Amino acid sequence: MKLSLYLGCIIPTEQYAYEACVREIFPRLGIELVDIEGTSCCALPLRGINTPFWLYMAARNIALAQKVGLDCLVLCNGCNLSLTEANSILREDAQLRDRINSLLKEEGLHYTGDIRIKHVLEVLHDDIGVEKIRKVVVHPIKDIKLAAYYGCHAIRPSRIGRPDNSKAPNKLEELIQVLGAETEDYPGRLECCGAGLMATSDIGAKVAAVKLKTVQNSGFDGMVTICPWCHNLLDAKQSFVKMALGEESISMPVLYYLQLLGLAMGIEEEKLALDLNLSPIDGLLKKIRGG
Amino acid sequence: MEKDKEDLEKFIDMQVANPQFMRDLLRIVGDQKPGYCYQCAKCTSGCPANLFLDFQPHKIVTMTRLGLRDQLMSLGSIWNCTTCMRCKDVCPQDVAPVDVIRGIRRIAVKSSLTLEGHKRIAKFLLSTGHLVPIDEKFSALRKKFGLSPIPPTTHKFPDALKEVREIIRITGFDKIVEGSK
Repeated sequence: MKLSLYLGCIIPTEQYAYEACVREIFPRLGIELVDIEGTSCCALPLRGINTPFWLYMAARNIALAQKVGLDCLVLCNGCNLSLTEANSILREDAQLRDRINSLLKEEGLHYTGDIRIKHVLEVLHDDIGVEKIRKVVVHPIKDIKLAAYYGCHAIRPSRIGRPDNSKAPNKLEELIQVLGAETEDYPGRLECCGAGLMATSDIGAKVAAVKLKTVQNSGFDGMVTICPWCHNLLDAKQSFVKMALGEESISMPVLYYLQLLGLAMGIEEEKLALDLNLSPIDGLLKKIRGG
Repeated sequence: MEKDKEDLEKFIDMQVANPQFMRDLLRIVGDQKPGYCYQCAKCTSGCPANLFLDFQPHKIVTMTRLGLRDQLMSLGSIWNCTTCMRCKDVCPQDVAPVDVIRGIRRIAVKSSLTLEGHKRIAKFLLSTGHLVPIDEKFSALRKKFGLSPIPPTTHKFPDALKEVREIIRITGFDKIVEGSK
């Protein structure tokens, strides 16, 4: 299977561990990734500020992916929602589509909407499949309980079609369990991490602090993310969240699902860019190595 | 309850209602139906911003229906929505308060009420085509992990960045950074 890879803003910069992991792991699972040249921000965070701007930016990125001629893997939950929603609006509204295309013509692009926007959860769970993943596990993650964290935009809004069910998603749990680890429900599993507010207020840090504390109090050894913005807040900004709120007791290891999968596949830790995680993951890694 | 009463008394002043506001908003929110809201408050009951602030989406929808434009514009809380989409998913009436709130934000921005935080990230967008800029430190680290030092995005292709800037100009997005600090 071949897919084009859309990177967005935060993955190739602050969160390039995600990019390193996907480029390392996916080819080993039979997914060839092809770069798309000249993409930009998906514009989702600024959608409320200027809707036509968002739609135009999203459509341009899809049109660039179309040129590659493959379905497009969009790793970030937000980018994935942005491009999926733009696709669903433009596929239905011919008038709007014509207007966007008259603008895209300048760059030699044409939007048709005939490619699919794929989510990492969908590719891992539905395309590659849990059974195939089971076969590549050489180092099972044993006696470790991990909290699956989807992030909002992987499951909502359900009306445009998201990779998992909004009320009772289970794909990430299945993907964690197939590696040998344990997982279970916890309060706030499907609720927001707060990242959407980080640019404009300090409420985001409060939302994140509650999330981290709840996971910790529920007895998990670590938290597993699939969205780079959730990860950036829960992992990279965990010490900021602690300091800003005087919540010194917070100490929660946070890993990308792909990092966990890579460990279970026996891939060298350096290749999974684990030294980029800023949450306290050393104890968890030790436990995983020992298992 | 007492607090709710105070808020309502403060906000509901029909002498300043602006009937055009709902029409402006409807043009932005498309197929959503703020007029169908029957105040069940399912949106508010699961709202993450409501846990931390006195942010009540169902109240914002009502104020919108009543045309209380200026009061809404002056509410800091219209910026507190995390866009988690929970309200859009649970609303039995297809109101999707998140879309109403984003519509209000759009009107606020047109009235030059943009937040400094949004202006800041918009500036990055103008200069790099992305919200997160790339610098030499990231490039060196990317290389260390076997990635191309510059990702194959507008960071690498100046002509693509020109096109993005053109989108920014055509859609009037550049206007929001005007007058920023």
